Amino acid sequence: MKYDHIVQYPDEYSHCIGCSSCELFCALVHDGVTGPCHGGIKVELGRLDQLRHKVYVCEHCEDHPCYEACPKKDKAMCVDENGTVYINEEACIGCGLCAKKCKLTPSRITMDKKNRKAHKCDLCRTRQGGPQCIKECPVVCLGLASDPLPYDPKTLGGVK
Amino acid sequence: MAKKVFFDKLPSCYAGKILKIDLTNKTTSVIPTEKYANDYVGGRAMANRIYWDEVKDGNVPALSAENTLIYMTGPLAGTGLPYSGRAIMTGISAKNIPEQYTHSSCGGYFGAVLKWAGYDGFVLTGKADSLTYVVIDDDKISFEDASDLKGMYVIDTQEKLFDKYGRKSSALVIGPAGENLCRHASIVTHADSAFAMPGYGAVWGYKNLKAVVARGTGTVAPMDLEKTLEIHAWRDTPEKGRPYPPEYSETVKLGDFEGASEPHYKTFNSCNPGCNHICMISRSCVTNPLNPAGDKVTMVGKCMDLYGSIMRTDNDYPKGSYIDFPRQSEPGKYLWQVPILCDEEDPLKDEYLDIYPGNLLNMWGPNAEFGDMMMWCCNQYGLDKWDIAFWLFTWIYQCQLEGLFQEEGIDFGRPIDFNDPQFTKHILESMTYRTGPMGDLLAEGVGRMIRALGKEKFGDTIRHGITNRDGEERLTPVSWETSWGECSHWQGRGFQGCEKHVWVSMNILHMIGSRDEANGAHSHDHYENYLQYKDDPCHHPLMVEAAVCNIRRNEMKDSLLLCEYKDPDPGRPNMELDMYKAALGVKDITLDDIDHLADRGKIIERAIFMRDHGRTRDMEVAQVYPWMTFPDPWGDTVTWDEWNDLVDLFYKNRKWDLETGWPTREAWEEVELDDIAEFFAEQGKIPTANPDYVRKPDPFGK
Repeated sequence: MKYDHIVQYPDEYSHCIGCSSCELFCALVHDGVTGPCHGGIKVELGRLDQLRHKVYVCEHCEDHPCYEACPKKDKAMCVDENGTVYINEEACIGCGLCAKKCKLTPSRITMDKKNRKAHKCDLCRTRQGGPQCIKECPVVCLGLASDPLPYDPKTLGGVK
Repeated sequence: MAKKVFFDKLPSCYAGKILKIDLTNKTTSVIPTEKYANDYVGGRAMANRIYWDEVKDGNVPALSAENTLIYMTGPLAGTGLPYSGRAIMTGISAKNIPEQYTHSSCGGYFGAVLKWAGYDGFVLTGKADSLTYVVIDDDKISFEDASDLKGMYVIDTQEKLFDKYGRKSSALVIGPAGENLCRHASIVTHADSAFAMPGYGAVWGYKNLKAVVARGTGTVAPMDLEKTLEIHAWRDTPEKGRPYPPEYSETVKLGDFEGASEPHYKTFNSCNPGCNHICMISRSCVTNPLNPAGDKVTMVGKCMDLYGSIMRTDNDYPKGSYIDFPRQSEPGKYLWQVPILCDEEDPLKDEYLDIYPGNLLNMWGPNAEFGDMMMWCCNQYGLDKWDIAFWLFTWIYQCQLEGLFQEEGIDFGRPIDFNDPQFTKHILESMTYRTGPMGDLLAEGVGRMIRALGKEKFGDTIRHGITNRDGEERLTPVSWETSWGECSHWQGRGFQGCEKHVWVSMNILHMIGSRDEANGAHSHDHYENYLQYKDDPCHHPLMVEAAVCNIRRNEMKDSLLLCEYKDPDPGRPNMELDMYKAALGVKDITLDDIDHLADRGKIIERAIFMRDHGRTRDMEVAQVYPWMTFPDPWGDTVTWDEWNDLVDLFYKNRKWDLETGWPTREAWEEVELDDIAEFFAEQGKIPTANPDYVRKPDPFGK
């Protein structure tokens, strides 16, 4: 079984404009700052002559190797009853083993080496209103894998 | 008088340091941002003050080691607030005539990335002994050999730097045009965000600077997260918060004109981190004009790109878009068709929405191949699109129409053909690489080229065949040059034929500046005010107040920095204040404070003009007046006395001397710049009111 996670909808449904609002506001609501070493979702800007951007975020794998690798398992790296893998940052020692063991490329764990902390998507599990990244995306190119597409693709009809 | 203190400790929206880079000695040092943040906000205002302090003699050639360029972000960059990557650059312009201190603004991601590397900006001096790029990698600054980037296109240079420093790095780069000291060369970042108009790309080329790369692991944060979230959410209107799938299209459109294009997909792109405005229209899967056998490319589109394809008609002119909502920025908004907001019950609604059709310019297009070649050459060579599309090619077209090249035997090295994309490529290649019979002249920029060929003939000859809104012929010169070696921009003639109250107000901005100021401000005012001054704008104090309001908006937009394309917005007239509060977390600040900060930043620019370039009233009036003597679409002009009457009113409002245009002591003290007042007192440049001022006669004999 695959647990719920954030997905980037296919380009044909909505074209990511590369604004990185998801990345910035994820970092802001979790850590109160912006910066490449914060937040659990990352936008990789596409080639400048193509402009097809990719969003990378934790898929909350069933076997969650990041959790298994954590030397402070269940204190720093935790899994809740919904299968959401999250980090309790107070207990995190920033060893980086979780980031190394992530089976996705690039690793979906963001390392803040200065402060020796790891960051990853926790689906905003304690925030009302669901994941902030989905909320901030101006073109609805992010959603939850479990949810149906919020708009009927047949009626979209391209850019107005 | 003491300046108002807005914060005791530097807010977290700033990185905290400004880097000084000496290319000659390959050394760096640091200025603490704290020294300037409270009094000068950021961006242009801060750059003006730093320039005043750091540069003791700015009367130097643009292409010299002594030309100091300042790159500054504002407090918004990197915070997640919309336009979170915008920045400003100031220094001596290579393109403008005469060369003098000016400014340019630019979007992209570099500003945010630089702040994450720990710097709010950088001050660039000296000249490297060979082609170099500078890497700002957190606290580690290095000067790298750029010989493997030499001659490389703009996008290719950035991609190569991404390969080396990762896609979370960002770079400001020049293309071959900058390396070859073309005065229309831009400094570019991301996909088509550029410091373009002042020709700073040529200055970098002269300094042997190919790129500045930033990569950081630090953080910034808005002081008021709640307000930041609220502003970001406010942007997500239901209209915007919907999917934008690519749309298949076989045409390019502009107003009534629609031309065939190769099949492509229309998409949108952002040019700034955190910006949730959906305004940059791109065309994907288009044949690469410079490499037709290569990959298909995505071309970012702005208004210039459309006019590269179609120079057939002027902008339609929506009356209401200029004359309502005092703090909004029209007509930029109209250009990408955001509906004008007005109350359905408003008795003046129909008048607001009254749209005048554009003049028929009858130049080229619709021809997407021609436009694509023009825009892609600019993208890759690193050239200013505005001057290329609106000035260079309209000038070639109009000179050809009037038979001027034939009369003087001027040969561009290829037959002039506005249906042939290879002709466009040839001209821009000649300009970039200084090749062909006209290469060196083209590289000097359109204004200097026209002077070298003979301005009377190649600048001032009247072009025939443009019709006004009543179908009557309008007579304007073959060159659309206006003030300070710039091309007309919302000035009522050439392109964008607006009404007198608009171009009068715009020309006040241009007059006291040193470049085309429509990069950051357009003319706008309350409709009620317009009704009072519309019949005689040059003699009404409300016209002056509108100009002052526009100047302040422009200054604060370029200091925070906001984007002229979108802000301030009709739905949020106090956007600058709201943004300031969100980023800096200051509660005790008012609109009057914002205006005061804007006035302080702006007047330092005038101090630099006076100190380094001998700015006077005669000098600046002579720049803007001649263009206004040609008829606008309604046949309106100004007389010498009419324009000078308005200048008198404006100077009085600003507390500047009528004869010299120099600020009085009161004007300096009002913005707490006593030190600058003292400087000019020692120079004998603090005038007192001169009741005997007698206006000089019209030197142009118009």
